[in-house]
Amino acid sequence: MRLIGELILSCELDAIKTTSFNDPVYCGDCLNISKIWSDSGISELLFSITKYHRKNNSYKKIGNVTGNPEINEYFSDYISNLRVPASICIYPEIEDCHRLFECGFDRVGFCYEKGKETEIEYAVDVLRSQYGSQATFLVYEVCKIGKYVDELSEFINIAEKWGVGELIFKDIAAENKCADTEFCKKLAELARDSEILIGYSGGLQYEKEKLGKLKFFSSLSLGGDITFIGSNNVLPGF
Amino acid sequence: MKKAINSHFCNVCLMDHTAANFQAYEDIGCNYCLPVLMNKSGSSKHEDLEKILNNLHETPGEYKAVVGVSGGVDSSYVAHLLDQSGIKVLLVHMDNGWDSHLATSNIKKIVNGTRHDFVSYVLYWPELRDMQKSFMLADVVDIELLYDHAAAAILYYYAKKFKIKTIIDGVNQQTEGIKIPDNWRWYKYDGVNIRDISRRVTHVNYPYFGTIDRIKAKIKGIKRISLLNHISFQKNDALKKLEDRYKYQRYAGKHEESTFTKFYQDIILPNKFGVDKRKLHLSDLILNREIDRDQAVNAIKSVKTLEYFLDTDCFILNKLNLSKNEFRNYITRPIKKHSDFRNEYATVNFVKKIVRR
Repeated sequence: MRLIGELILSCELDAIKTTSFNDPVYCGDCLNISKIWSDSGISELLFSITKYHRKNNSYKKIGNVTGNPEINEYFSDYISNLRVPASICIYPEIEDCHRLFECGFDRVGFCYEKGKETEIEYAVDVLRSQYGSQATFLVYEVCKIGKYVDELSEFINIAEKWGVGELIFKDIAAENKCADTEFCKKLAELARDSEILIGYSGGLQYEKEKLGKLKFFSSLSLGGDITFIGSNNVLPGF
Repeated sequence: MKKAINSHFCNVCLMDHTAANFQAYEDIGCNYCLPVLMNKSGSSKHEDLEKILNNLHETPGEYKAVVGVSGGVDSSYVAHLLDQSGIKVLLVHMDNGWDSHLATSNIKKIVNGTRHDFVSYVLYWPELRDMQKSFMLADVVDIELLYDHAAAAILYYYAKKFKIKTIIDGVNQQTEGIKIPDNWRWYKYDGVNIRDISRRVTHVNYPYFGTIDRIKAKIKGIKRISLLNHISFQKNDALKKLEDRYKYQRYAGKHEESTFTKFYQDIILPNKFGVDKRKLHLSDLILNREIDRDQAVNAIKSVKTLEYFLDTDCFILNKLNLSKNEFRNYITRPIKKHSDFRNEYATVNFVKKIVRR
């Protein structure tokens, strides 16, 4: 079982949550969140670099932050279970990817987006030739793209054609509480090996037994592994 | 008839001369445990509880009360009791950046297992870290004043926001009956003291709630209820129920839902201030007949030394951005009193006098 925690960091290393990559809301100290995840059994950290950073002109700054060798000490030295973190980039900027690898990140992934195929394929190709295919992964954001089998088959075919190391299915939520089991079963049928990672919002409420050999990607969003539930979702802060 | 004796230790509980104004009495306890023992004579708690629950049922609005949850057994049990009574409340958690994995996991179990709604208020860690370091630089005993004060402020904030008139807490006489000695703590609503101690920090997000705010809230009709004082609360029974129903996991010690509180109680208090809070917690359990004195004496024997901590756990110092030497220096520096800084002591006394009249 491989569990991956996802963090969106501000330039100041604050953990933030965004709504469609806008309106960042502070959601806690990233070091404590990492520790909680580590104690929960998470083995890897994943940093999201998003439109928010680009929009606020801080995309490069984040690269500098993650490019700082201290970040690995900051996260890895004090949290014994963690491996060197990976990082997802929404838009491939090869220069930034190099910077991430230079500071010890072992993989860089790209979120799949229709209309951006050429750009992503080129980035994957460049990185694959330099760092090997295991250093790249492709992310399918289920909540954004949809749960249609045709789309999924197409996505899996594309990923295989491009030769990425791993696939991650992110944000597979049923009523924002737990993994959508039916969808996961559909994925299992489509998958040709067990290296597909399943992701969903809502903390660590995975259902190991039901989903057999599939691996999980847990997208933990708000402070620790706590998520807002109920009809009144009140955001923190006065 | 109580007869004062010249002893450094109580023969009933674990309290001793490290507590301010400690006085042992022959055979019957000390000035800390005796008031609790005298207070335990059977009262009509259940009638009170019924009245409170009926009042809550009749309260208009979706949420009948605000309940603070830390992930600890007391607050979790309050949430459970209210759910069992069919009363929907808003559970409020303060994330101060020190929640342990177990605490977040237990909160989630309680939230998922009850019908209550939940909100987590996240304090801004960089500001809080600087305030906490200011408290350490000031060498005052009650560093947790920062968190206890903010927790109260947040409960009142949500009560106001959702127009809720009742705040319910997990405070109880049974497991927290003994008064915390004056030299181990400071007045929790003292916003002036907090501001003065951390005056070098730019305050932007920290939620203040001083004595005057508390009076204003009272005038507006917001009341606090300690629900567990109205039942025969047994910690072990409560834990058993939570474990069975929610798969709640117990902590090794009291208040260990926070990494910092554990560190504060295990390392800072004993090494810098000569205070062992376990004496207080275990004494409460003795008085509540959940353990006997011999068991408590055995439980208190193990002590974590400063050097052991420095060799094994750097997470806390790293998070506070403190070096080992800076921390050693802090531990050995002379202590100061909260009253050495500006405070609300005079205001509180004035209010008390008026209330007495």
